Amino acid sequence: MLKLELSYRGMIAVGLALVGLFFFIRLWPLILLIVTAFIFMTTLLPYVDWLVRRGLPRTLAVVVLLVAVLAVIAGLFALVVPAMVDEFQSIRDTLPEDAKRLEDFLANFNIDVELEDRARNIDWGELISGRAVVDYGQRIFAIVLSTLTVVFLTVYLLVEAPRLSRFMYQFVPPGREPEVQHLLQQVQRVVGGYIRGQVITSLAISVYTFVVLLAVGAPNAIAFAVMAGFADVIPIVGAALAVIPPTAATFHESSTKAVIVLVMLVLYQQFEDRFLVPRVYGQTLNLPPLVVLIAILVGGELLGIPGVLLALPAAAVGRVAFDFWMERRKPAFASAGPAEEPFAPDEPQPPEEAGRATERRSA
Amino acid sequence: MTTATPDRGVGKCAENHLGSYGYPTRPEHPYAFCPQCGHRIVWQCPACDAPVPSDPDELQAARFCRDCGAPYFGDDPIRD
Repeated sequence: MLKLELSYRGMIAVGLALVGLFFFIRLWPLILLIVTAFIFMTTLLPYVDWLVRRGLPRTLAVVVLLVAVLAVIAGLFALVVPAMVDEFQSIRDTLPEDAKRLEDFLANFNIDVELEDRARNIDWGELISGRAVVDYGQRIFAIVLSTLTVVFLTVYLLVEAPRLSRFMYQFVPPGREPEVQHLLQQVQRVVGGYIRGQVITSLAISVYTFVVLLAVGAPNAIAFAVMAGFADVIPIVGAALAVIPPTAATFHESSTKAVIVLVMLVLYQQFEDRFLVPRVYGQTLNLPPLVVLIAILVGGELLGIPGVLLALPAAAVGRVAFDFWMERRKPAFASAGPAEEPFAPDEPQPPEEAGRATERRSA
Repeated sequence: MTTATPDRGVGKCAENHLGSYGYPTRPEHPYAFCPQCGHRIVWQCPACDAPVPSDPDELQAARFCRDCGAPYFGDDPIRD
């Protein structure tokens, strides 16, 4: 029979681990916000440092940068939200008609579906009932609260970055600082690079979507373009969010135009996945596609949308930590002798080494 | 050959105690002697001024400059 013996110290360790796990699970939403704030801090820190080097007080530099970033994001939302509300109302009003047209369109390909009746039977009153409004209101309140928390945490971290750095270096043994500095630089490179890469791909898809929608004369081109930029942040699912709404909106105008929009946007997704993303992120994240996919699936399973958003930077930081660990496991020199006394006192140095040294020193 | 002292760096003494300067919570400038054993600290090669290796494991193992081959502590009066 298996007998398990545990010392008092072991029991205390297991107990502390369980308590730690309990708090970790309970505090997970808060930890998520802190991690998000750290990601933003890492991205914005070089710009804050740049402003500080230009003579701005640190707090002012942080406020200026944050206000600029938030103003841009708020401006983009101001473009998208009213247009999306209009679009939703328009879709609601014309849904049965559009469903009929889609039915007819699909009938050309011998696809027989009953969409019109279903569209007429949608109970919009139930969907936009008081309870749903309260439910959405609560969700929006939670999102606003989380956003504000992340903003304030980011401000605090950016302002206190030098003090945090000093605090952390206290625990680093003398001589190990370059290693820690290298690790921090690598983390800053992958996390900052990820966010900058995301901004580039979001801008690219926004511009492309705008041009395509403008060319075919689709409604709310700017709003859909900005929405595509936001959707691009979400891996895998974002592609559908960037393609389906503008295609559906264009379907009001003409089914041919909708097909053109669909094809053009799907082609762009392929271009982004196969050409743009590997070039923008390839060097920065240094992750094989399979790892990216697994990271996204795991992140989504564990945390839903926030998990999907955090999956890539988390995987990239994991890669940096793994590389750091592997690097530390390697011997400094392939044939290094004992560090304290490389040569026995009476043993002469290898002639090659001694010769080189004497030659250089006399030179 | 003389080069300007870098903003931050690492060094070691003949007893292989590591030291650093220019990092947060560390002295601002390179210091001459090891606070643990009193031996002279080497921040750069005495012959060619090349900085000592920044990797701590490599630094601990290194006794000679990898740029010119000169011993780091060959002229150390305490050591020799």
